[in-house]
Amino acid sequence: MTNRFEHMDCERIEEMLPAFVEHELVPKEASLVRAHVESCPRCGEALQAFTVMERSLVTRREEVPPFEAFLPPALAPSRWHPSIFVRSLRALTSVPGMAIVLVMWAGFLIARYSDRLTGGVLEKTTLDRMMAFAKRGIDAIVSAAGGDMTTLTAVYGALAIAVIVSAGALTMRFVRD
Amino acid sequence: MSNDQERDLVARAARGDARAFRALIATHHSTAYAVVRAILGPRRFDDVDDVMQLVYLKTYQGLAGFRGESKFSTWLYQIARREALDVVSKRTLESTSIDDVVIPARASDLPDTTLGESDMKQWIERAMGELDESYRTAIELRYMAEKSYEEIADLMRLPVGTVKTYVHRGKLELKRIMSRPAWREHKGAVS
Ligand SMILES: [Zn+2]
Repeated sequence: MTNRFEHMDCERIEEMLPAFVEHELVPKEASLVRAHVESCPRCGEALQAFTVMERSLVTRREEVPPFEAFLPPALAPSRWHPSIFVRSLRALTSVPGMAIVLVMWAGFLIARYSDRLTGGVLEKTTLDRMMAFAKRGIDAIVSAAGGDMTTLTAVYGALAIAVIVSAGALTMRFVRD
Repeated sequence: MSNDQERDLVARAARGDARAFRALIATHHSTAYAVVRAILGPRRFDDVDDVMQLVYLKTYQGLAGFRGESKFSTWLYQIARREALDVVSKRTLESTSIDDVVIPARASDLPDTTLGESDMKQWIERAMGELDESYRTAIELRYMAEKSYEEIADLMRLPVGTVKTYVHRGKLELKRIMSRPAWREHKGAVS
């Protein structure tokens, strides 16, 4: 079934099998191996063995236990390690926090703008009513403070920071580092 | 993780930031674990947990003196290697007969069914114990830690070609070990 020449190559072919199974051989070598194992049952069996071995070796990654178990006790994650300051800082830069405040801001701007367009009569949907209510609240604060541009900016700024911080804090509750 | 991010984490961890330390370890844990497993081998498996705890303690204590001349991964690899080798040399002094154990030791230890996937796993685990430590290290880094040949070469400070040779020779050796008559009798061993 197999000729002498092919048998002479068996040892060399077997040495190439681990690399063949990993697809690490150059195409020329790979086709040499492929041609040989097709005609040589012994090397065909060896290839089968290395293939099974490869499948088994790949599962070794599952043997790595979580790292937390090996940390010194002082460094293990604790449930009560909030550090409000650090959390707030992180929250300020959290993407969902920023996204939410941008949407809110846009909402307020639209509410103000559409108010100006319709003379304050556009209060149809619940969202519009909520927006208008919030706006009236802010306007009340602004007018109480004298209605100048600086106060207005400060109020909106404070509101923005409050929203970012709370959205960020909320995110942190669900997404643990 | 970029080099800059890693440097930042190392600096923060060195100042006592536990969160930064955990982030570093989370990234490189599989490397440290694979090295410790490779050096201790299956026969000293019971020591793995103790050594790992020691490795992370030493890593934390040593951070202040880590100047970043090498990558954090290389540094951690060396600590893991040193601590594992330390245990191996101590244990060898305690019990000189441990290396006389022939694997498989008793026929009753061998699987009596045809070799399935889970049996294959156990057999490889045993045969790994008979490999050269450098072959075993390369194989564990490749499979347990899922490192590329380039990454392994970096860690072991060897040319990439040498690492590939270690892994491939290691596999040839594993097959040879599992083909021994003592293993073969109990049917289905890799022929
Ligand atoms: Zn052949």
